[in-house]
Amino acid sequence: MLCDNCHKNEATIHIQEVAQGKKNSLHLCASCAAEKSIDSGLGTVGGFNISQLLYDISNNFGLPGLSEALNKSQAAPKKGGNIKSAEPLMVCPECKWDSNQLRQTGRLGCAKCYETFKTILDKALPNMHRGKIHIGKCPSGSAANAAPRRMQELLELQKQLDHAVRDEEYEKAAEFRDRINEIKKELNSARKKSGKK
Amino acid sequence: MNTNEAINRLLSSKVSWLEPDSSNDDIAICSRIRLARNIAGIPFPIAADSTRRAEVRSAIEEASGNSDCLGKPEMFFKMNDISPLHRKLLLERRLISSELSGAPDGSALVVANDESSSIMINEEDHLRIQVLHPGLDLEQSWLQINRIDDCLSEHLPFAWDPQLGYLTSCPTNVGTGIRASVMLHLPGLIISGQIEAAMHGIRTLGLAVRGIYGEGTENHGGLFQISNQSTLGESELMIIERLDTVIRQLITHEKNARAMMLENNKFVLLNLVGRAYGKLRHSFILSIAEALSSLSALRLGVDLKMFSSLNIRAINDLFIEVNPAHLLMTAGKPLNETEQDIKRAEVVRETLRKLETEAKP
Repeated sequence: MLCDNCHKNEATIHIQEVAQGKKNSLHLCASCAAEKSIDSGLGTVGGFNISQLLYDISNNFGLPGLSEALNKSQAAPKKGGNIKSAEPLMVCPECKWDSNQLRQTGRLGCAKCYETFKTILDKALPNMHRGKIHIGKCPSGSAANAAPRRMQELLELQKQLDHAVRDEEYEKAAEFRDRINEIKKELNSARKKSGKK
Repeated sequence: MNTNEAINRLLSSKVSWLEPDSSNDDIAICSRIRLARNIAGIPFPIAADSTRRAEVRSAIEEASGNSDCLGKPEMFFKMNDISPLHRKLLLERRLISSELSGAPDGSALVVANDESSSIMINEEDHLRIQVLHPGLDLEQSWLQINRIDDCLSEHLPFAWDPQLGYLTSCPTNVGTGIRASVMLHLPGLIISGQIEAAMHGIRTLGLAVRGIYGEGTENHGGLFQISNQSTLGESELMIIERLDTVIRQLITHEKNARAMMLENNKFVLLNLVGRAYGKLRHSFILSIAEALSSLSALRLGVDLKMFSSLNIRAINDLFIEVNPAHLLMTAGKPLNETEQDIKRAEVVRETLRKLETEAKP
């Protein structure tokens, strides 16, 4: 088997990872592995890093994962169109990171890139995560603290509503439903106030 | 404390997260949580030039050095200042990643004095805050790292967005930026042939499973790491709770597998452990793969109270000490592969001999 990186030497190092039901394999020759700083000595791969490594490399080789998600979002050339088929290169005004670099590395250059590459990320993020909106913690003292807390509350209530319905406790369910609607209203008006987001 | 003093201090101290966890029959070895954070207004490390990287490093060093966030850390390592061997040592001790080790420019590591928490600087993100606890202890790990994170956020403005949460260089970490993982010793599931099925089950739950030293049935040390994948759309506590539930189920499966073997295949099990002990106690040449798989079997034997003179802590330490950089440091000189195998056999033999002598009345 030839090395996935140089396609010249015999692959001697085989890495496999299954994540979210997809199996990713990577076969490298000793020199490419050294370049990617994979040590064939067992101990030094260090477990915690191998995934990142595989992840990075899989992005470069178009294996399932982020690169797939990112590339799916690349507009396919329109049939019959004589317009230039390639998607225009997007460049972040802040850090000059471009959409090619994003596809190659799977990484963004700065916080602003999340806005710059929004169209790509909007399609890619649902393949990576369980939700689209952050409901965890916020930097302490952040004015935005309230919204995520409410979101978490909303999620908890939704869970309780599901349980109540399952247990046929309809009075309780109605109560939960009313509180959910209240919070949703509150969140919507807060969102409108804070701008277009 | 200069770099050499810090390295020596690390080497002379025992790894705190390898303390035995008898509450779970020592099946869970350690719990780790890391948070990915970036400083607002500065490009992520991949797009930052060396001036910006240096700026980030000083800001974080100052924040952690002048605050109580990490206690009063005395160990700072600039990756540029330390040799490849020392970097490898930190890697084997799980304090840094291969990414940090491979990109020394502007990269650094701050370690709390008890080694339970640390910050990697200019790895994939500006900060990778990490907490390591012995045994299955995600809750306490979370409380500790949450406190450190809150404290640091008072000194450093983190890149954050109300919709997307903490902004990270790789979109797979955006949101909470959390990766929680537990390292488990699962020899029972391997020997009884159930490991692949168990792993498959975990993966269908959206969690990641990795062999620490090799995959599946080729796993050499019987050590696996289970971690969350998704970081957006769930709170930190929800992520941790789900992981914790799955880990507890796995521990039960492992216990069952061990009990079944003791009942039905007792001599197969005794033979496996006995041979592993023989190899470790009497070998003069020991490869890393042999050492790890034998240590795994011996650890199972100690768990099952087959050796009164041995203890889990000593075996846990050996899992680290048989790695190449640790051997080289112990030897105090460069060793080729064969010499490493000889040194490894010596370290293991001597450790076991000492434990047995100490245990004798």
